[in-house]
Amino acid sequence: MPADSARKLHPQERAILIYLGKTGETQDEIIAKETKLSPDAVNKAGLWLKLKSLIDYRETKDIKISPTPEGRKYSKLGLPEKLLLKACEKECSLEYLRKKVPDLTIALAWAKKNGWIEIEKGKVRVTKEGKSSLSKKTDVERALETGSADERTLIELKSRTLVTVSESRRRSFVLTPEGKAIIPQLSSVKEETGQLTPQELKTGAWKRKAFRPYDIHTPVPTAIPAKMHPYVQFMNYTRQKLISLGFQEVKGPYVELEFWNSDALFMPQDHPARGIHDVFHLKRPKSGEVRDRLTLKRVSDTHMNGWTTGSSGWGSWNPEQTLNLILRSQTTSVSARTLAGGARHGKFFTIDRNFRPDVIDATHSVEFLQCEGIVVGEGMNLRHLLGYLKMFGEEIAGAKEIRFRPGYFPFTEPSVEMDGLINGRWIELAGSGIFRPEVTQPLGVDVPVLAWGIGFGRLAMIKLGITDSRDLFSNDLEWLKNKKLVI
Amino acid sequence: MPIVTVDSEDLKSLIGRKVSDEELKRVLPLNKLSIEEWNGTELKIEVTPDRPDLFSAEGMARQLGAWLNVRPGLSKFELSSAKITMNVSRVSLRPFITCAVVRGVRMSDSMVRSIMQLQETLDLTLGRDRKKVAIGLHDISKVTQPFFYKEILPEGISFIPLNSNKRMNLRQIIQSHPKGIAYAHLVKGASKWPIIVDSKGQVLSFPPIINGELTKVTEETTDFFMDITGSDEKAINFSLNILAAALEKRGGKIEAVRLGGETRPNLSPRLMQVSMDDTRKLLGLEISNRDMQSFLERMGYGATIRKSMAEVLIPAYRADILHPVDIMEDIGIAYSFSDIIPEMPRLPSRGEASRMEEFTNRIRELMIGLGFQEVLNYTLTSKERQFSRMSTKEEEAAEISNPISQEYAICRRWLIPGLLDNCRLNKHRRFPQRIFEAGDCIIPDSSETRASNIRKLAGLATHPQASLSEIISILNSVRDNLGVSWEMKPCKHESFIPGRCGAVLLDGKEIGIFGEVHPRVLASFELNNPAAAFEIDLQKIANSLGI
Repeated sequence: MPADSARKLHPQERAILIYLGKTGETQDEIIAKETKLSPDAVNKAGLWLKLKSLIDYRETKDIKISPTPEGRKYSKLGLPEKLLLKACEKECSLEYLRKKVPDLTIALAWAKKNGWIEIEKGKVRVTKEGKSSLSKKTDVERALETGSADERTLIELKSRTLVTVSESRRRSFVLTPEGKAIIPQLSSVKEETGQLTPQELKTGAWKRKAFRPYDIHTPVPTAIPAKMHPYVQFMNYTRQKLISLGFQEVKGPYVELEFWNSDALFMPQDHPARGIHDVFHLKRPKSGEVRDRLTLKRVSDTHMNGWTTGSSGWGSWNPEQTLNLILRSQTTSVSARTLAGGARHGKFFTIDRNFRPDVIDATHSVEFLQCEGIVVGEGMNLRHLLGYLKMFGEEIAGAKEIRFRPGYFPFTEPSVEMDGLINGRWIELAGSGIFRPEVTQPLGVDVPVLAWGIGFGRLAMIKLGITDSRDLFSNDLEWLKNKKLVI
Repeated sequence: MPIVTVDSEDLKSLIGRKVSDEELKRVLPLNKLSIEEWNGTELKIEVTPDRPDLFSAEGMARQLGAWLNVRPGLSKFELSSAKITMNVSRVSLRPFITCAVVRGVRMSDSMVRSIMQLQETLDLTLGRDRKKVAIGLHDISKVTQPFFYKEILPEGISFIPLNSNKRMNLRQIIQSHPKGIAYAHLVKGASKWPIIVDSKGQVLSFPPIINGELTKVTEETTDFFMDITGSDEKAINFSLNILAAALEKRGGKIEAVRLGGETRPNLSPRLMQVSMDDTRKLLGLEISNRDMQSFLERMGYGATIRKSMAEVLIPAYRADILHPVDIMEDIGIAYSFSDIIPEMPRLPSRGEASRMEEFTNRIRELMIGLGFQEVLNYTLTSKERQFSRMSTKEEEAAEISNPISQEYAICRRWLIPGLLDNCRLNKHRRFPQRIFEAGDCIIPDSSETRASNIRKLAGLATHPQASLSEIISILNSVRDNLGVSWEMKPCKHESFIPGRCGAVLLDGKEIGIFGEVHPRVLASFELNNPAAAFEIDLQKIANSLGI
């Protein structure tokens, strides 16, 4: 053992070693009594000492027998077979014995088994052995008196249900040579503090005490923190970035009119992406209203003939369809509402849920989040749009490299897709464009509007180390406990 | 988005100059054509749906040839004079028809596959699965003009449909032919159905269902007749122009068809005025008029630029040009998106969080401080979970008419059922469990959308000693930390144990509920531990706090 090993011992360990040094091998119960430690403390400290090879255990088994009611009766009145010997000196009839001896059947059985009697034609005759046994105590009688018995007797006692048997183990501690060797060092150890107490702090007693070093590798209980859900953490992470880049957060409803989800975005009313395979339509409430009659009229005119936008329009308009209620399929509806609400200058974003009737698998869900935004202002152009995209790609997605290619969205022209190099793979990061005049002008906006959307779920999966998009909404407490913070 | 499969060697040979694989790989995405897969010579390309003229190797080759400056400028289509007449009478189901003949097409396997694919993709996209546009392609040598487009009783004529050997009348086709069954909904309900026959009464086509076996296109076909019918005149003409242009790219001569006193197809370009200044402003690029001219030609346009105004001739196969911005984008594409240098504008603005989101974040921090783990559930759920498993009566909720599963059929009205379901899935995890959710519920109202998002907070504790007092102490802490003075009042609620349930009242109005969850409810979520829960309306609290 190293030199400071005596110091490293717990005071309880030291107390036990010192006591054993004085007495030699001692039973643990006695150690507890003598050292005034609790039996539990002696037990624990003893185990530590054994693990450090300073003591060893000696174990003995104790058997305790206690008489049953029948056993108690016999030890008071005598065993039935003994009573039989007393009643019958040499030879007598069974009839006679029946009157004299209680429990005669038991008495006859055991007397015969012991070879004390012989039975012939209704007569009981006592043998020599029987005669001599009358004055001697049998093992069974002794056992009932003393409460201890050899193994053979114990079997008989048990088979006659005269006793119940309980076993107990006794443990003694004995010093090992290492234990003996360390004892001289113990007396030199100063009084040490384990848990610092308020009392010690109050009185200043801690100044006179040494702090016992603790083993930092001792196993400790697991602490389980409550945390924000990882996906919420990532939402907040992204929100903070966008807010610090000058974007204002906006919100819109999940239950939406086709007007805002599609018509205001100049998507033709028979566009395939508006059908039942791409949008959840509502059974109830079924349809709503657009109270802003002016905007409604401009949008419908734009669909019909382009209104004053310079467009040819789609040549058709169904005023009922536009009032149909759906679950919004894109957060672009929020951008349309923001523009209609009077945004003429500035940057806006939303991160929120959308809904589509997809088959649920590792990459599709009926409910998913999008992060979208717009930049509204005089003179905004395609190069500026790429400027913002580049910043998102680098700042939010952490892409090493980015590239642009033309894309298509019904509501933007030009339209741009951005790919980013993340973990050595090219990944689609964002879709964007400049809102068409058919979108902006009916909403009363006559400055360019840059619009963009980030592949939010995919980014979150990369950040959270997830491969199945369903796990973005996982609520498995074990998973939540183990998930690292979004930093 | 449509995926178009082409033979990469075929595509290269159609471009008009040698192109390496590497160059093709670089150039395709810059022309709205993203490569999905490339195995050997099988090249799968995702085409944006605004460019139906790129749904074939022929169309792609025309675009790339111009973009690479091999064949820039407007394609000129010469039309041979009409030899064939199509007589049109009233067809109420599909009022519009257009036709063309293309002769002397160079036949090859790739060509047949490409044209068939183009026809199918046009039917599906521009044609809205044959509703708006349906295309028939025929070997013209098998029939005798003039042709007739008319409507007829379903039992009025019989013929052998394509890929069949049995004569059937129209109704039999609808009932037993695979294509008939698939598209029956497009004719059902009408008393008379469309038909195209030749002068001998032989059937070319039963639009939009199927062609006749008689005019089937084979490897020997060089002269084609195309019929395109539908409900949208613009869409059928674009489809015809796209098809005719594709066949022309294969060496075919387009021949006009007489139709109602006019001739088809009309392949003359459309004229659009495009401001070059506006283009420069939109793209943020300083481009000279000379370069503008060249960029327009590299997108297949004809152009004459005078001062700041360009007269742009739009090829007849371009269905996507509604507005000058569509042409401006094309100028950007010709410039190449990979060459545009991004620029950060000076646009000062103040970043600001939604106040409701920030309020919710403060609430989240509080709940976490109280030892509750956040969970996140879908808005979509089932009626069963929201109501019957909670032992409550069904309430009005936003309900989907086309759900993909009953599990996701309505929008949640309250959060506690979701929390109980989370506990069900965490039954074998360690206890105690304390969870919360702060999220939107959808509550029907009289707003324009007839339902609104309402932010709510719910918390739930489950463990062997979970009790009413635990949940009240949490609620009290929320109240004190928000500085609102709500009251609690005992109440009855089917989801909670009678006598162990209360309502939260703010200014006399109920804004929440709490209590020990009824054992019947626990059983319906298969839970083995008692649970106590609360749910409050954060919107109303925020309102009262002036947030």
